[in-house]
Amino acid sequence: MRRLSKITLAAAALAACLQAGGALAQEKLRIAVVTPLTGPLASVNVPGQNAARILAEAINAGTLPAPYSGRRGMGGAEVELFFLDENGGNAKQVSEFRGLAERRGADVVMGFGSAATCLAVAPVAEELKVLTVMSTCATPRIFEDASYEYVFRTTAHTTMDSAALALYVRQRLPEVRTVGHINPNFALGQDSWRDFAAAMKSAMPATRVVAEQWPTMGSGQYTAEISALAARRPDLIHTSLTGTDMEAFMTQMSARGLQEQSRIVAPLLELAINRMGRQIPEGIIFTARGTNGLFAPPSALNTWFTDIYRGRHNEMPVFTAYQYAATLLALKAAYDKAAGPAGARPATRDVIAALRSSTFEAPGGTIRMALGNGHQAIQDTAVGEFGFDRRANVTTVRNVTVFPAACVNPPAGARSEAWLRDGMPGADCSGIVNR
Amino acid sequence: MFRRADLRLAAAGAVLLAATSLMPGWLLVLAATALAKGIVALGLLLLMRAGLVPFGQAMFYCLGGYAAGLGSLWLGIRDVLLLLLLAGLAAGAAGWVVGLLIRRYRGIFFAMLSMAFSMILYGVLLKSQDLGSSDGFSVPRPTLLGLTMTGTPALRILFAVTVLLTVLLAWGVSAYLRTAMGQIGPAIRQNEVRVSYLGYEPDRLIHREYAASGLLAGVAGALVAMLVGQVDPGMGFWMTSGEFVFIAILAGTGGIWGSLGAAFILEAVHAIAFDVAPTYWRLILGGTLLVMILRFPAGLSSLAPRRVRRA
Repeated sequence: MRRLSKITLAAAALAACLQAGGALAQEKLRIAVVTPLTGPLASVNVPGQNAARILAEAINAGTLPAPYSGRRGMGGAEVELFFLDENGGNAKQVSEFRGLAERRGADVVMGFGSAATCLAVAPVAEELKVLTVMSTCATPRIFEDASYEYVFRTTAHTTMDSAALALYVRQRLPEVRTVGHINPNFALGQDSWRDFAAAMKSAMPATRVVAEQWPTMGSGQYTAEISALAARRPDLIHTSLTGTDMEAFMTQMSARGLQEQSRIVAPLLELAINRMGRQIPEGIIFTARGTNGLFAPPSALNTWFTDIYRGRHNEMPVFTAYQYAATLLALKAAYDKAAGPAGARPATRDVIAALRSSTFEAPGGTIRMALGNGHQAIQDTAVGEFGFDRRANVTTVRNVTVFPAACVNPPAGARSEAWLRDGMPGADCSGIVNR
Repeated sequence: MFRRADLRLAAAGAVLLAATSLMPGWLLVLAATALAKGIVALGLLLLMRAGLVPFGQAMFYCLGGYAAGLGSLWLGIRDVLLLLLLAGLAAGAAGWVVGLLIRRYRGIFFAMLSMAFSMILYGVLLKSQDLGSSDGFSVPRPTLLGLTMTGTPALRILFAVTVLLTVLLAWGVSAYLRTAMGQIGPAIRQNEVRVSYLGYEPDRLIHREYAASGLLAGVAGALVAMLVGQVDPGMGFWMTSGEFVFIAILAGTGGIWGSLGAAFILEAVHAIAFDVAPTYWRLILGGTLLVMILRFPAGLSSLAPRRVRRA
């Protein structure tokens, strides 16, 4: 019996610990950042975490450059970030999300790397009436399958990447006739390939698919897949492998010279450029999910951001960093606008009204909340070829084409998949720029 | 028929039900998830008593979740109880079919074969783009006897249903364990040949218990699916199975209390570690579990006083 009472005591102590978390002071604006802190996707999301910290510090210190200079905090309140691991499955994420709102006093929740979490959490955010701003997750389904009041996404969905890549191939590699692909066998890989295949069919109807490979995510060993791809000799190979998978594939592929017989299109390569650098073969076609990173248009905001990021972390910020920065800047703009000149802490309702359909400046250029009833962002994007400057020891990008947001994003109300299949109707591609 | 242990079970259920209105939403979800995992552990208890550790119980958990989701999307069934019935029957039937093959194997072969089946389901679901692949799909909020539920009240009702169901199933399992058939399990573990000579068929008993454990896991999966509002193939991944096996090992084979308690402790440690150390929670979780296993090698159920343990 003594053992039992010990257990009871321990349980009571644990319950008390949980309770104590709820009694925190509320003057600060508490922003929960849900992002993969462990597991295979942690490495590609760490830059987002770093950027969020940098932005929060600058917002609190009032050191942001124009157009955000002059006002400290968000809507007059100091910002406090706290982090939660995006792992452990949907059930875990949903109960933790409730905990964030009900127990840990989160005023805003941001982050989210995986589409599965975003899809599971969005209805809960709506139910709990918590302002939730998604920074990364890929899928267009969130605002195409449902409509939300409290949920926003401050980055374009991945349909944009596929549309831009297909248009780039049409413009720069018109001789391409056969396409192969190697994509991870889960939703991101399947969506990525489905979109790219549909976009290619619209942009270049004469191409045909000659090789398909669906390795398991995290398999790390791609010898058989590389052999299969090499045997079919496609003109173009599409791959949305990412993180450590991408690094393994690149290393194994370049040893076999796959890039010499086929051009490689790798939308998510950008996440690997800091870690791999010169190991990546030259000429791989990639994007940065928007005009982020090496594609960023020159601006005071971008110079400030890259300088401070490089100074602190000794590498270039990749697109996840740009996405998290954009979320915090969108929030800052909305809070400041809702607070008005008086600077009183605004109600969530007013912040939502200010954020909906808004346009804001981010290090990667102008972002517009144009889709999903003003809740889903669109932005310009760019595609280019990877290069490595051996003299200066830096990664570079060449043959860049910049696509305006209206050219590569579906119009409001359209469903991405159908829009790509129907040949991207209504796309305004008058502003394409070749650099 | 009713013993003191049963009264204790009913009392625990009554306390949880009474606490329902006091609990905030996050705690309701946490506690209901723990109870649902406890239900899976009850099913594992049946098999573990016979010395069998299935490393693929997540298959039934996942099947139950998808059955509840698809039942409401495709068949238009919206009632909680009907969906639970559907999920239980679907998973139980799957357990019966898989059991036809798997009942002949023991030890590591049993474990790996059950895991193989569960990974087949996982692979099929990953390939099913219409079902959302690895993202899964949303499960609409169910109704109860024609009443629509929304917001936190819906969570309270789902929690109450989970508590009642857990009590009912735990009582069923403990009653079964007291029957002659229920006592054969440990005998199979100790000496299977002798059990055959006594006139029982070990294969058949294992088959029946395997199907029953599938049914229990299916019900639990459906509960979690309705609670979370989303199903995805991750429910059927081997790591989910591993978590169940872990709960079962932590619980020991002493009886239903160990299974329910272990599920609660695992969820609680998980939640606290998640909050306290967002980057190192796996370390805390693993460390705690290691200490508990070293400290209580026969499982939590060995902690309970003798008379409770026999329940």
